[in-house]
Amino acid sequence: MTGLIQAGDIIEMAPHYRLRWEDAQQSYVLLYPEGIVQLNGPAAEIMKQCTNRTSFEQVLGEVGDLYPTDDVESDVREFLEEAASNGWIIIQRA
Amino acid sequence: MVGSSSKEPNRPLWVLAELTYRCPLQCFYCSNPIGFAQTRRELSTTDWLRVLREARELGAVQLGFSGGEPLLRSDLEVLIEEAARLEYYTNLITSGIGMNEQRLSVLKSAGLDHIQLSFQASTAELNNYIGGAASFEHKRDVARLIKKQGYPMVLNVVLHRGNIDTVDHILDFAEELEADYVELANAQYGGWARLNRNLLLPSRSQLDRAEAKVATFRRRLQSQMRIFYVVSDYFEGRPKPCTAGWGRTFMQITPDGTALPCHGARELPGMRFPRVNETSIAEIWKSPEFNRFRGEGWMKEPCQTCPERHQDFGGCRCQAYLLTGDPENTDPACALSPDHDLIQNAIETARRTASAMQPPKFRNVHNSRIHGDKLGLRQV
Repeated sequence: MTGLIQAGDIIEMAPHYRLRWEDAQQSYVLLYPEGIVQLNGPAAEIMKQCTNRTSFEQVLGEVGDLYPTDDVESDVREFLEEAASNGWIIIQRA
Repeated sequence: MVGSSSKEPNRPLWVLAELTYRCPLQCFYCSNPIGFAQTRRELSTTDWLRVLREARELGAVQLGFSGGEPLLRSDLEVLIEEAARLEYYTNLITSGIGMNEQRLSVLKSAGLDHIQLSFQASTAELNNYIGGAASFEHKRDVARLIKKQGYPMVLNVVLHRGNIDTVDHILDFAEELEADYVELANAQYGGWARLNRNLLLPSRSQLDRAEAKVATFRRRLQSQMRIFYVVSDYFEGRPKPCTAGWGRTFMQITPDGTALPCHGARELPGMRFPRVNETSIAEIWKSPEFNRFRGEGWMKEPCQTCPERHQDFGGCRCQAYLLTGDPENTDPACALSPDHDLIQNAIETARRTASAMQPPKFRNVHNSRIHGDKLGLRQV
């Protein structure tokens, strides 16, 4: 499902997606059939959390420690919703 | 703060390895050069292995094995194994002919990540007619086996006048086969599609109906299947960002080892593209040929000052050459091009001749020899 994230939602990277550090680009990239996305630091941190089944609260906890800003919650939420609509992650309602 | 960065790439991220021009199908919109039958012999396994290593060292990550039909190469498994070891994301772009359960499983063990399977249509009759071979049932079996073995699967169908009215049926079919992605790509009028353009170009109303059907299907889609609809630049009024810009992220290597920045680049006049058996991938990437249309320095008006030049890169150089005779011109698919009437006339000509049933010029060795001298491959 896509759309707005709710408390307790289970989040996981979509099958067949690969998250990998690329030396040549000095960044994390997301790889999928015939596609590549270069991720910036915060985006990579969020996607790293999603490589195993997780929840919004867990992702926010980890990423919030790394980027303790006022709008970290809305930034993480916005990124995850965008990632779901791109098909990078799958959100399951608990 | 969060997102994907748009840092300018300075390396080929995407390498398309066209292993062979041999193909059991004869699709008359094939993007291979018309004169493919004149090509020299295919690269050796050793050459390909070196190319894969060199490109990876330069930072390439996405690797497509294509053709022709790549399954005709008996060293495909060896190449995929090496590609996986080098940590490429490996894509096999195939007609499915030559695939069976055992080979799928060997390729899986070798590390193949994804398979793009082509269909010419979603019914046996039409599929077999367009491909010039009775392939439909086999393809359908292969699609099921691909899913059974847990590969992600892209179903690819090239759209044109002969099948675009069935786009809803194609989408149902893709969903039934549990495709992860379905790519509906309007034919691009280079290669064999240029030769058969009058037979292939749909009408504006066909295109509008198809796009409405795709939109309806998207709304009611229940599964995770994703739809990539590749628009027709002939009808968009704007050129496509061909290969994401000349020499920006893409390198194609033809069966005889010629490195190209775009599928049709081989047909450009006065250019001899470097060969991977004569020079390294790093040198090729910096070569005068790959620099020829890099960036914006080559642009003329209306591209030069156009606010959209950073998105469409002036369109396709090969299409500009094919249609206007000058590869420096704006792609005539752009409504701002002074040559845009060439596109409008082509649509009109195709519409007028639609009822006169000419036979297609199928993509095969015989037709390649007949038509290759006139329109096809320049260098042999």
